[in-house]
Amino acid sequence: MLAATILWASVQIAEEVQAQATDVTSTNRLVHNSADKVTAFERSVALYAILDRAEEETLLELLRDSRDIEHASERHETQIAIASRFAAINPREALEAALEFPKAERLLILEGVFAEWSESDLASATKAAAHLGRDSRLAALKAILDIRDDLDLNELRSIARELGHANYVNKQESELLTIDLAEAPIEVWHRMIHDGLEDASQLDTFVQVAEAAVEKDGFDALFHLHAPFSKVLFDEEYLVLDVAVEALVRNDPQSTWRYIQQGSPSELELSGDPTDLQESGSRTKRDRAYMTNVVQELLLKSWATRDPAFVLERIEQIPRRLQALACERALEELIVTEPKQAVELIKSLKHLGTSRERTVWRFVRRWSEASPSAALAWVQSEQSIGDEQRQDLLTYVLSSLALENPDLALEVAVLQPNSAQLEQRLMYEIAQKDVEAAINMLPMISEEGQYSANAWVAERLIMNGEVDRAVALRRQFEKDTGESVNWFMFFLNWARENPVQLFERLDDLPPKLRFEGAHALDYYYVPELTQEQKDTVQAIYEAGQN
Amino acid sequence: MKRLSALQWIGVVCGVLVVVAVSILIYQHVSLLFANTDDFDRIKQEKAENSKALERERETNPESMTPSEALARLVKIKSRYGRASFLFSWLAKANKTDLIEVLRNSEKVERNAYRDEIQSATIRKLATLDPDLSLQWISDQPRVRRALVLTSLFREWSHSDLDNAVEGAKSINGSDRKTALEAILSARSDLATNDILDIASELELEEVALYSISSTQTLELLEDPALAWAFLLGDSLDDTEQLDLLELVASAWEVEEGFDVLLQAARLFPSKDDRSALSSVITGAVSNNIEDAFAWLRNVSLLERGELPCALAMVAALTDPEIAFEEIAAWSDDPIHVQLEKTAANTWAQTDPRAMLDEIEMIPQSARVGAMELALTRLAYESPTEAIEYMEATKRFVRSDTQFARTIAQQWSHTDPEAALEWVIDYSGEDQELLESLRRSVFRNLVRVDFERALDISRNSTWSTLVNAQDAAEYDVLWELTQLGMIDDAIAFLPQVHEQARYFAINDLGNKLVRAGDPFKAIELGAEAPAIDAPLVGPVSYFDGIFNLWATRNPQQLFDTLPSISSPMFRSIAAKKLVDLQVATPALTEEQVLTAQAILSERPLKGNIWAQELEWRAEEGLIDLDQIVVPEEWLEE
Repeated sequence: MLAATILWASVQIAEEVQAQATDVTSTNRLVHNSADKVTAFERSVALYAILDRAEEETLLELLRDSRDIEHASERHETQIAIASRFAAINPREALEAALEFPKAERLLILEGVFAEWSESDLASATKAAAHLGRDSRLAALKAILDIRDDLDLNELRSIARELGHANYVNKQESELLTIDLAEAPIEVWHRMIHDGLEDASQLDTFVQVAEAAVEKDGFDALFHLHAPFSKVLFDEEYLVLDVAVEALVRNDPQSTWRYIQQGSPSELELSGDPTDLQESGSRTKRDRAYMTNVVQELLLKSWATRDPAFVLERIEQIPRRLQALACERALEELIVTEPKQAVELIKSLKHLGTSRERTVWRFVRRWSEASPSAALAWVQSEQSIGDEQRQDLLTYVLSSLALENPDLALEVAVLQPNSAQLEQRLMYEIAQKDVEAAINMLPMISEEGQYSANAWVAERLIMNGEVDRAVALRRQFEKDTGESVNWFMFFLNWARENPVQLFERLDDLPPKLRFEGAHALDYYYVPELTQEQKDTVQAIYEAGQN
Repeated sequence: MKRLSALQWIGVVCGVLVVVAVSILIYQHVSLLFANTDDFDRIKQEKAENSKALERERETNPESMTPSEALARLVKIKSRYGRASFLFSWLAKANKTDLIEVLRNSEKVERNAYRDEIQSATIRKLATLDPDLSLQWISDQPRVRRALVLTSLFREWSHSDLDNAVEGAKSINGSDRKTALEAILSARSDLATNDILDIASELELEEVALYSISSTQTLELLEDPALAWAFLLGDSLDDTEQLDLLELVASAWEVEEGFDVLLQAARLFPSKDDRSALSSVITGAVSNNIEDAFAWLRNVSLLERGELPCALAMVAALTDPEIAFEEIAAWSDDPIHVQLEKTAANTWAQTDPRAMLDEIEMIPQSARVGAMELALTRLAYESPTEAIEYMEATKRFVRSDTQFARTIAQQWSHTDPEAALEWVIDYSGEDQELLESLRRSVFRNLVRVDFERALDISRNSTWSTLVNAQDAAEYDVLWELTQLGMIDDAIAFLPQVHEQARYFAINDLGNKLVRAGDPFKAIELGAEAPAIDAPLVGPVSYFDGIFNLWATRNPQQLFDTLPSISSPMFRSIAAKKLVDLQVATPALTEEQVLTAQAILSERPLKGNIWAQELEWRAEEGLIDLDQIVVPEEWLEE
């Protein structure tokens, strides 16, 4: 019996030894062979089975071995799992081990360590993370924010600040908002527009929210996404909407084109007469017709940008009322890629409608940006353009040309009837881009255009912070021409740009200029100044008046 | 076999027990010898403490649990590893029905992080059994919550059946498809470049493949950062699409060659609009040594440095605002000094408004107002009451806080206009001017929740926020209704608004009616358009705009309508629009054009739109033209 028992015990021991040996073997197998015999899921099951039995030494070994895993995603999963297990046993040792790795892998391993550690002991985890390098702190923070969604935002902000990445919580907050309001994407859209963050930094999220809105309510949802922009004046403010609509058109060209052709499916279900006021839901048919038109125009503009040739070829397929818009936008796009074709088309297309002038204007403006010399040649020679419009168009063309070839631009400008006006405009554009080039060109400007050209350059110098040069330039102008400078306007620009600096420099100015500087500071709303400073300004101004 | 007596049985059992006990002792002793024997006590203690939780999880056998039991157990495990281990162990034996049940019930899991873990792992298992079903389940989820599970599905699916995974990806669109392709490419790093491009082309997402290829190539070239940089600049992707890769390379390059690499970045992003991109690219290279980076930059020429100073100020403000302002202070003799102060302050305000306001004294006076405005804009979005507290605490640093109060009121009104209005009233106290100013920031958003009150406020407001006209604030309220798609409701309210506002509202609504395909209602509305003096607009301006739009959109319909337009002047305006249109768009027949020209000659239009406006008023007996001096140039057109 005893012998049998000893034999049994020996067998157990042998099995245990075998089991440990098998662990290592199977680990190696997992590490070195991304076996096509098993699924990735089965590999994960096996991985966790091994890790369940592994202690520190083995984990260290596994972590080292994991570097040999060929496929990145498999390697990442394995390393994160090992790191988590390691951190569950001994987070400090796990952290030490992670720091031994090169950057790319270290960040992933840290993710595993801190995801685990922040659940078991957040304070210690945060404290340890705070001593790491910048990238490692960010990896730790990401892991903490991902896993500790039970904390309120103020706690998360405090951790983020401690780890030197306060801004990362803003991103997290936007993502949380989209998830919490997953069923209300239009509301998310409106909130994000007003969240005080730069829209350009959240474009991907905006696109995703727009897709969600359209998936939920169809393309009709675009009316509501457009609403915050309906009184926006500048194209760049449309960036978010443009990018979102462009993504929607790219995602589903057929449906978006169908919408342009046929309108909203919900509207089609109703009778065709938009004047029928029979209520349908909370909006009348007229309401719906208007909303549909807004969406059709949005989609059409995007289509024209995406594929102008397609739009022009199929212009007869879209409703008559949208054809002028389609033509205008498609030509504007085509001029950049196919100028010859666009120029031919503008002569022959029948859909410009009463917006022909506007179409030509947009067309030339865009062409000027892309190829000012070619645009100039066309504007100068095109017979169908009236003289008045030609002068307007030349202003745009020469402004762009001035940035590419200022000498030629000035040469052309002086030959025009409104040469002084054109010169001023050119100098404004050049000064905006390269103030030194503008200064060099000042002697080339006609006498008539000198005052404004000099003023534009001075304004630009103020904006660049070169206030002494700006003052000197204007004083030299007065000296050279005998013409008086409007110093109030000069200082108004300065007060707008930097009132505190102007206040601090008042004492350095001669009395006349000191008075005008104070006048500008007194006139312009400048909350930057303290009451005491404002009182001083007023005293100087009043003394000067007397 | 001989039967044993009871006593004999007891002896045998005791003997066996002794032997077993001895065997176990021997086993344990020998077994421990295989463990790490260097520090047995330490191991024992640590294992006992740190593995306790994990051991407890193992005590319960996950495989035997029902889906509900497993889920209930999972959410109680406070260890990421513990949950994953338990989950994979349970999922290994789960069948399709179990998986569906877990997915369904996982929706009730309160914590997003736990739910994500459970759903991701479950989807992976389901993908091994029925990937189409997985995709179907994901497609039923709200779109903004799909990314993680889609990644799990496509990683698993592409591993077992790439062709079908690509087909599956084709069935979804937009961000979902992009997520799927990214998952496929990350799981199948064994694919050749051509295969990657083929798959991406099939999914019409070539740029995703190009980024993936660029990324792999960059990492391979990272040991020679100059080469990696040149590669990134030469690939077909836009530089702004690979800022992360450029940052990685710049960072590695800086280690080798110092800050001179920043000049490469400055050349790549030379304009003001590129500052943000440039700051992203240089972050890795400078963030561990901000002071030295500023010192180095001081010796770089104006021409070479480009936008680097501002980009560096941005990185510094993100990394350590205190150091940022200390360093910037040393630039006081450089023209860019104030710009740097403003850049650093604004960056800080946008990224961590609370900290910036807490340390407001650190911000130079020239940059304070702008930074406070940005910080309070963000704070008022997150927590209006907190923003108000901060405004109160920091207002001594500026002369006037009215603009901040306006910002808070407006931001608050986007989410809770009624609460914002109450605060505005309370905050303004007896100051009627302030009340008027602040209410202007709120009342448009009030339209959504309390139209009557919004209209009431607008009646007591002077200026419109939409048009430069006095006594037209009611127009803003009706305009807000149209932004909700409620054209007819806005029309119904027209009689309630004052003349000045009514003109602008009618003008706007008429335009929208034409766009809605109902120009006849626009004509009807035009009859109500009042004539106002500042600006000089009225029915003529209204119909000029309406007929212009109508002629562009549906000239035939406008032509057919000409006989029914009773006013000869307005009929002429309509006819002129059609004649003008014909020059560019021959939409009417020659005969129709002649008819339109005849109508126009019956009642010719003289002068510009203002002259015509005055003429109409005179015809209506509203003014005496002889008493008015009409500028000559008005009559020239």
